[in-house]
Amino acid sequence: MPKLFLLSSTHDFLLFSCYPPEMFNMDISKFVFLKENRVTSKNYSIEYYETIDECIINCDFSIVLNSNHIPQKSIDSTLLLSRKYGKKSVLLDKVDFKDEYETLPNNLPYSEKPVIAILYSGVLSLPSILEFNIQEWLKQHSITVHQVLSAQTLELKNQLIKNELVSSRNNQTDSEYAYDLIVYSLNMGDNLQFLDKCITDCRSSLPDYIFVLTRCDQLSMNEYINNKLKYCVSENIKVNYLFSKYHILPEEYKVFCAHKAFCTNKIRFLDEIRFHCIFDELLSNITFPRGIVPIQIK
Amino acid sequence: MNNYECYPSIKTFVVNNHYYCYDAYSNRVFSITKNHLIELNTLREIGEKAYNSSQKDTIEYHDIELLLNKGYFQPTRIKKIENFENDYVHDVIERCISEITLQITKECNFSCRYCQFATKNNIGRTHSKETMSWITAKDGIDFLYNHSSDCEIVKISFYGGEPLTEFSLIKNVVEYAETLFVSKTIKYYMTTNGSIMNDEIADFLKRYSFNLAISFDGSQNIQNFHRRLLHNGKGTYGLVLRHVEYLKNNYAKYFGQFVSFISVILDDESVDDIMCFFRNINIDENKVRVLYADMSGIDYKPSSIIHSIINENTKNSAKTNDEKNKINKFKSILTETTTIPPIWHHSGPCIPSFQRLFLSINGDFYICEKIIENKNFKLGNIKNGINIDSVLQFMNIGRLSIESCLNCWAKRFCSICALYCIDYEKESFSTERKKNACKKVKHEILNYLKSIVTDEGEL
Repeated sequence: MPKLFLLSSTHDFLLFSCYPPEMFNMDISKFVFLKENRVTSKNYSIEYYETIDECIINCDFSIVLNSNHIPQKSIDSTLLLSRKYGKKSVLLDKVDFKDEYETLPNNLPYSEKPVIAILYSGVLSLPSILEFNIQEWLKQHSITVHQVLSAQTLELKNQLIKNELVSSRNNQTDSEYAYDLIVYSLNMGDNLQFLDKCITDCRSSLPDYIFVLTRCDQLSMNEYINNKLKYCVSENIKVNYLFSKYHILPEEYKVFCAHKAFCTNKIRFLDEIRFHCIFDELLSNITFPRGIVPIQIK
Repeated sequence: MNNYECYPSIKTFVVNNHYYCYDAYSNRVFSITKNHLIELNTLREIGEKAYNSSQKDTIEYHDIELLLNKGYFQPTRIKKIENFENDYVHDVIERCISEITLQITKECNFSCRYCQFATKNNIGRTHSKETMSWITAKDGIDFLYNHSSDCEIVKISFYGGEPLTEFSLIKNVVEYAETLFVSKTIKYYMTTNGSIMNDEIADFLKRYSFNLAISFDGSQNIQNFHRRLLHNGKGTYGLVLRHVEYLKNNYAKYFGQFVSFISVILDDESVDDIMCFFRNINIDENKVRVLYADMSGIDYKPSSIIHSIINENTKNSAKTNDEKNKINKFKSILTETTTIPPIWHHSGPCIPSFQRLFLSINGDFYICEKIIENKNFKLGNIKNGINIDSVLQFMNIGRLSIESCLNCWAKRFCSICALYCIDYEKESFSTERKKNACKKVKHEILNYLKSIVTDEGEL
């Protein structure tokens, strides 16, 4: 099982480690990471080394998550040393958040399929964690899905596929009606500038379940979304607020409280998806063949 | 928890015979009548309970009662004065220190008339020949390395005296940092008086993209009046201008991107004149930051509030960038519709150590370079690290004035940082100092409010 060297910031590493391990084409046994970004993960064991040279020697495979802040000389050095030691290396460009409205696809049978909407408030809400996890979980339960990913998740996924890190085959199908469920993501904007539009679109899709991803340090923002949704969507629709449990520092968009808070969040986060909300309240109803609907006895 | 009696946080004021009121609870400004103003002042003084029981039969009383029922003019719901970032302090210190300022030297080759460190004083900092040792500087960079795991960018600033008197030490520090940090962008900052420059220094600054702030006050008269050479008392205008021109002509791209200017002026000098001077030497005024001199330092003004009051009626028509930023901030706060949470602390205090951790030449940590080195205000030292209790003390200065903070009408706008609350003579935090700062903040905020309602300001 390969040992993977990730040249990235701590934040990007934590993000990466929150993606479901099953979605990757390889079984990652261990991460190799720079000592300057020391971090712990409940999912993976990690070895630390001080230099890129040591990291390459001690890994089987390397990924560079290229943000604007990793010095070019370090990126070059990783790629060069990987070649020198005959090890595979992949350069992934960090996908920047685009503060643009992602229009709801209008050709989907919203009235005929259960719908899960993921509303996220921009750059800090990290929707890809939820999107990838929900996709993988549905796949494991043999539930086919038509998933409309957020722009940045889609771009990231395409890069992962292109570099053969994840399989291009998944549980998603494009053929009309041949899926159990619709999942889509909508961007409320970094300062909720698309919120009204987003809620109007969301209502028109007749969602059965809504995930709201915001950041926990913006209490006013959460309060505002809460009020809007309260009066704009039917009370029968389940709304699950998954506040990102990060504290974001001004201007830098950096996470602190680091791995402790992040891991705690992750556990809570996945628990809520897998065992509490979707299965109990929604998916138990959709795994039946078409035409067979269980009657809820109240 | 809060056992204090709380009253509505209301400010009534009069402009050109029109009456107004600001309600901190709803964060709204109202135009009112004189009789409403009298009623609101009564409400503020006796509190809602006593006011309700007074049962007056006047129109104004019923109007205020109606608004009270609608949720306006409520007392604070604050239960505890505490910085909401207290819980994060440990993590910040362990993993998020993004910047260190090294006091490379105390030596300065200038003697500036507004610089109190240029002469012997009893406040704890004086220019002298002392410089930081390589070991201390290296330990400082190591400290940053070990405490910046969650940062993508780290910043290293060089502070003096005049830091370029120790160019070789700066060079060593930069070269060491470049080998140490692998996955982070390093940004370098330095403020210089512009007296020391040559090809080697300029090449070095350009190579590492140093953000260079040159202290340059303006025209020949002003610069020579303010800033003189220490060893012979001669003016410094020609020397500094020559170096500015040298950088501008020979390192144009670097100059355009990374060089800025700090112009320190006295209260009777004009911002317009300073900007005009820089335009005349073909320097964009956006590169110039104008600060008002006071007796606390050379390159910054600890009490901008004082000057904004002084300058209300002065001839300066141009606003400094700092003033414009303050106005924008004020406007954005006034449009907020949020409620004040039960656990609250006024803004102003930063998380000490997080952004501008200052390492003195002796290896002691302080909150930033603006504080005078005094043992009572140390955050720790390079050997033993940072003391969390000291950090929390700086972050929670609201505890010095709990009752007045609870009932303060300007609480949403407060910007008092811990530095305004220090009494250097008594070497301790001082409630009195804080009260003085409060008065100045309130005065400033009231002026903003007045300019809004009259549309006379630039708001």
